[in-house]
Amino acid sequence: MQPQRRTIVTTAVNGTPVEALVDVRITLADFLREEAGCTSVHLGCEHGVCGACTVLLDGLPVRSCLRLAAQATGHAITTLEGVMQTERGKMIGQAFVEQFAMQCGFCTAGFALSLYHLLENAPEPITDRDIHETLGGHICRCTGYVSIVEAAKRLRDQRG
Amino acid sequence: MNEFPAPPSTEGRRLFDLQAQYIADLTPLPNLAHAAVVRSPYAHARIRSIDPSAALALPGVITVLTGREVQEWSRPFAVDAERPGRYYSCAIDKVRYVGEPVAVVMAANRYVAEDARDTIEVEYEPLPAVVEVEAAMQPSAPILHEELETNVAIDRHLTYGDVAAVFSAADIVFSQRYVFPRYQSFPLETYGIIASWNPSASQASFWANFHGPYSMLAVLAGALRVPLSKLRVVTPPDVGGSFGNKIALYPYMALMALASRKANRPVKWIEDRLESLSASSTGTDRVTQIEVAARNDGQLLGLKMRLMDNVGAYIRAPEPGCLFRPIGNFMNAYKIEHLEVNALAVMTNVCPSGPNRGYACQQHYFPIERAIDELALKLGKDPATVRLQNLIQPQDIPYRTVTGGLYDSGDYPRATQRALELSNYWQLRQSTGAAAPSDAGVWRGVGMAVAIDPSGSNMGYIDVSKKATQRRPNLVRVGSAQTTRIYLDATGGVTVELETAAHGQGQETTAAFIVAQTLGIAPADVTVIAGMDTGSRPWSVSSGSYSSRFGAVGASSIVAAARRLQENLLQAAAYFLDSTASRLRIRAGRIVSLDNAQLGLSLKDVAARLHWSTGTLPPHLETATQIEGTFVASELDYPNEHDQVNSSAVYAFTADVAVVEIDKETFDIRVTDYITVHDAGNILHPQIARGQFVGGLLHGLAGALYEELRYTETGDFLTGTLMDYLCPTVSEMPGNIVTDHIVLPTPQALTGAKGVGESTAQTAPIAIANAVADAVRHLGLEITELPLTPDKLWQQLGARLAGEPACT
Ligand code: FES
Ligand code: FES
Repeated sequence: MQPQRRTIVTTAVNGTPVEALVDVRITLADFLREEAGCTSVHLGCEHGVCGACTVLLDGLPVRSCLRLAAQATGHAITTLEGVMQTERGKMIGQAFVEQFAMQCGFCTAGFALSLYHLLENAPEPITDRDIHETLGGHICRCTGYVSIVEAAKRLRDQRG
Repeated sequence: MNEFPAPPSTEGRRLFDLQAQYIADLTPLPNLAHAAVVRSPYAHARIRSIDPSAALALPGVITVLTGREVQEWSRPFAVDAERPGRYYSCAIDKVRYVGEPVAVVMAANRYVAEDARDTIEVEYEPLPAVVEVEAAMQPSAPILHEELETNVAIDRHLTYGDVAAVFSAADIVFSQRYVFPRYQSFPLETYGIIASWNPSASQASFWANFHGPYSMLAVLAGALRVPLSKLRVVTPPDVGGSFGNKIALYPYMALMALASRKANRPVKWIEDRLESLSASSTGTDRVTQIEVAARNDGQLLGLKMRLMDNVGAYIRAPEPGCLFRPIGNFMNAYKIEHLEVNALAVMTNVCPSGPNRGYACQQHYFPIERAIDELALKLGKDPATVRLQNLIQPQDIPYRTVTGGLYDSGDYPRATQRALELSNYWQLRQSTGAAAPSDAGVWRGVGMAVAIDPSGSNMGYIDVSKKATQRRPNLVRVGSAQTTRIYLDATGGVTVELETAAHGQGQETTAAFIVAQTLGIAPADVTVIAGMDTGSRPWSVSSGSYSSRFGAVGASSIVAAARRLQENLLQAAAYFLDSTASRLRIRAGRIVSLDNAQLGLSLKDVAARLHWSTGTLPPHLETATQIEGTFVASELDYPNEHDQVNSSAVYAFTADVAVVEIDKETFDIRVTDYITVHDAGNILHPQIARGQFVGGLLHGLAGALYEELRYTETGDFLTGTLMDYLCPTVSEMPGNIVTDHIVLPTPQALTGAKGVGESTAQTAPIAIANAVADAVRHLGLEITELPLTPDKLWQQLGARLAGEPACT
């Protein structure tokens, strides 16, 4: 048994500076959910495969279940809570809601964050293949993906 | 009626508004302890001793619950089986599958609880294990529950019609063994429970992602030795999927209630993925021996089926539902009048089984639909032709099946023809299997499946598990009922309570739409109270969201309530306007007179008067704003002495065609096209219904090609992560998916709707298997079991060619 050690995390969550004393072993996902109030971060597998826990670390999608909170020091974290403050986030929300790109919603924030990253960063044009590759990193058990692909294509078309 | 377009997703809106509430997000009580479950590493072993002292010495650890207290404080769970074994929420003196709970640690947080879990010393004496259903039936097999002297929990013989006669008169009789695998629909959110035991009242409160059937709460109350009224179960507004998996949450609810009792404080437990895959609940794997009797012209005459269900270490309610839930539709959509069934539920050293999207139908139809393809081939006919020839015809409907089902509505040939057209089936047939061009890089196949999709289970079917003489004459369990409450507030706002414990089916969106359509107001003006709370909302044992029952049963109770509110509003307006209710109508938020264009009242005014002027109202209007609408499915009955029962409230129909390509070098199997046509009656919300069809396809595809819960011969569990349990991503979905439906409303539901939720999950494994069979038959390969994987095909072909180069 390791003696419990603590460390100070100095990060920014959705634009707000956060400094917190945490267990060195607490995962970024648990830290975001329990200490930073970001309950949009969902845990589907806790071993890095399902994508439900995806957040942006300095703008890049990462699995927050595979990282420690301590590793966030010096980096900026964005979750769905942050993305929804942006125009693009609102468009993503609208497309998902209107296309029924979610059923139970447990996977949705992960898909939304990866799509946000794609829409923000991918050079024109975003191809169907780009969309498949982005969505292919996530598991959804409800929709069969068709409506998520439709929402993604609609967002791609709106981007222009 | 349809003044408003189908509204967008209310549930999705809440999610993007950052207001979602899943069980893991909740802290409904102060002072929560966090639980971790100690689990068996052995498939079968005696527990010699448990030593929690190291755990108890860790800072932050509160206490440890073991089987000793579980045995003292609870009873085994009740189940409808002749030889059930004793199933507690935790192993007492013996473990019977890998992952079985052995103890529960409670600590200040989950990290400490899991540290402590790893320090608990359990001494085991391993025993021989058995995991295969046929092996477990052998006299020499290890026995899981010694007091039973057998692993066979149920062995029922059911006979309908004159089977011997049709088998001796048949032109062709053949038999085949089929294996349906063990997989689970894997909701992305795992089990979650917050349990609080109140010692002075012997009362337990739960917050849990449980969604019914609420009859399971009766089982839970029995196990906890408290009256049902001493349980309160709150389901949060958001539940991350279930597909039947979370019905088996109740044993863990018992375990956490006992853990809370031990800790003397509320306990929270969120299951992890390994626990979910190894020890929550899975679909039932089954071996079927089927015998088919037919005429040379393709006419099916009779079937004999020996169903051998592997129910896992304990037969657990709602099992043996997998054997009996489809009893009314045992013959699928075919006009077959002679059937013999031997239904066996067998216990082995694997995780207990339970409902899994399509509960029992894929298991039951797989051998039938595969055998029909085989029959067609033997007779030199096309499988589609043989199906069309044997389908029940529209003029025969309503049709009473020989097993007691009442097919309420439908045109099966039309839906089937539609699937054949949309898939271009007849043309495809010219270029698949042996007819495919030999220089292509792939083998190509096309296959189909049809299915009766039963919705709204009749509680009574389960008693077919007992012989007629052994059924309880004083408790005739029949029916499926649901109540919905609606309120009209003083400003004219309408609120509907959902009492069905939804978990991703869009029921809030649909409920608002139904109420709005009935009352002629905008869906956005209807407030829906999501989630469920047995402490404050109406429910009965058949309540819940399972067996695709929302469209036919749950939503019908919403219609019933909305209609009553509509009637009350008209009555009230008639009173206030001194008119007659029958001459009034609700139009766009106003109640207007058919006789006098000047005469009218806004809904707001009526509502205000009903609330503010209660002292002046006549008795019939005193409760006009508080409505309870109840819907009880009709035509449901109790099994008769011939074991016939109408097992479901309504019966939908599905006809599917799958097209596959198999890479000649890698044996990679791709489903390129999938066409699914439904007769689900009225469609309550088109996008939601389509989402259910496509989602069902995902689960069927997964069962056909990717997902399998695997064990070694000695019961070690092999598929505990997403690296071993392969969930399809967007890349595995067919490139071309076509969904379509024909609409034949059912007279049995106020909505006219039949089920949509399970549908394609039942047909897809079979249509895909038939397509693969078509692709590889010319190579001499037979498809008798799922999942179909490249290595299995490769091995079969290798054995076949015996050393020759594998690719042709
Ligand atoms: S929870 Fe992090 S990838 Fe699944
Ligand atoms: S919507 Fe349920 S997992 Fe994707």
